[in-house]
Amino acid sequence: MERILVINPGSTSTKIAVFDGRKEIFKTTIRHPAEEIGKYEKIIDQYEFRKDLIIKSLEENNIKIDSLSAVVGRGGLLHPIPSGTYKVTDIMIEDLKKGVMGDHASNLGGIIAKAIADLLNIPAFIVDPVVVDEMDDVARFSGIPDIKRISIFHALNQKAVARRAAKKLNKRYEDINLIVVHMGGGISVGAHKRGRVVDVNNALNGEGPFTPERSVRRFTRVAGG
Amino acid sequence: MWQAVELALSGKYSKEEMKKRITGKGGIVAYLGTNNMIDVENMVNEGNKEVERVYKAMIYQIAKEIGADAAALNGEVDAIVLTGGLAYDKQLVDKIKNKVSFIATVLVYPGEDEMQALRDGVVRVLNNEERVKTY
Repeated sequence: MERILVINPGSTSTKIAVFDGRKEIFKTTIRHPAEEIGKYEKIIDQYEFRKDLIIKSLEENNIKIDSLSAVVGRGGLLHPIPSGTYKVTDIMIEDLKKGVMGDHASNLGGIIAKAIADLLNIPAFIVDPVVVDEMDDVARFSGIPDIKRISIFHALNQKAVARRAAKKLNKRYEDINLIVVHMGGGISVGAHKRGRVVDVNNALNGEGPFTPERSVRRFTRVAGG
Repeated sequence: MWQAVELALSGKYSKEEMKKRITGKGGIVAYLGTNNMIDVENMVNEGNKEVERVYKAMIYQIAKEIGADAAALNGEVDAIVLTGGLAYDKQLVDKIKNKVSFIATVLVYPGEDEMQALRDGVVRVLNNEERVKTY
């Protein structure tokens, strides 16, 4: 049975969970008070600090880190990429550290995952970051040549429920068309065409329906937005 | 959008303030002073007509966006899937259903579980159901 460590860093906490296959055996939220993380100039500088807390938390809960077989982190603000599970590579780490699309807590996911995985010689992954881009060319036009529509949305949850829906319909996700509506503080509506999100409103940019507060997540900066 | 340009250049708002008016402090919270949809729904149920107007407008806009995607997909839609925290709100879900069920069947998966979604991505790769990608 594969044992998977899941790391999901937020702005003021890090959620972690351990699964044996699909079965959850441990879950906790490590809180980061402002006085602890406030001393770091950039979010990315917190990675070592958060990594050590994760290892400590696992040890305290009698989960031997050498029992892990893979580590997965929340994907960050990378360059646009198609949906999927990505191995964390040095090139990816470089982009996450540089903050090519902005400094954001989710950038820590891949970095911490790889740091822990490297200690154990096991693989590190990220899955469906918000920068998933499978948009059709026709959807990229805004009518103003210097404003290009971009794909940035709740990709992780949209993809997860789309697969659930496909299963329910007894079809492959890649064989059907779905409209997925993620409704939280921000709302993203994605057109899933045979497994690809060919169009989606950019809620971060104010596109689409108005919402409770019309925001996806607070990014400090988004290139090309 | 001309109105947005006028507002942005009126000198009344800084760039950051103007952005906040669009995302973060825009939408329901701008009209009603709360982003708590449970409060909003309670006010609607208590017969607050002003709140109801805004609530209905949000639902109308969500339905329109779904309609736009139906056109993007040439009307070939196997299902509409509602998810996220607001999908727990049965009234909201029913009202959206009323407007869009002519397009396709509506499935509801409330909330979001990022931890499980991340896990599943790895399980699919480890089980060879899906090929791992390289950035």
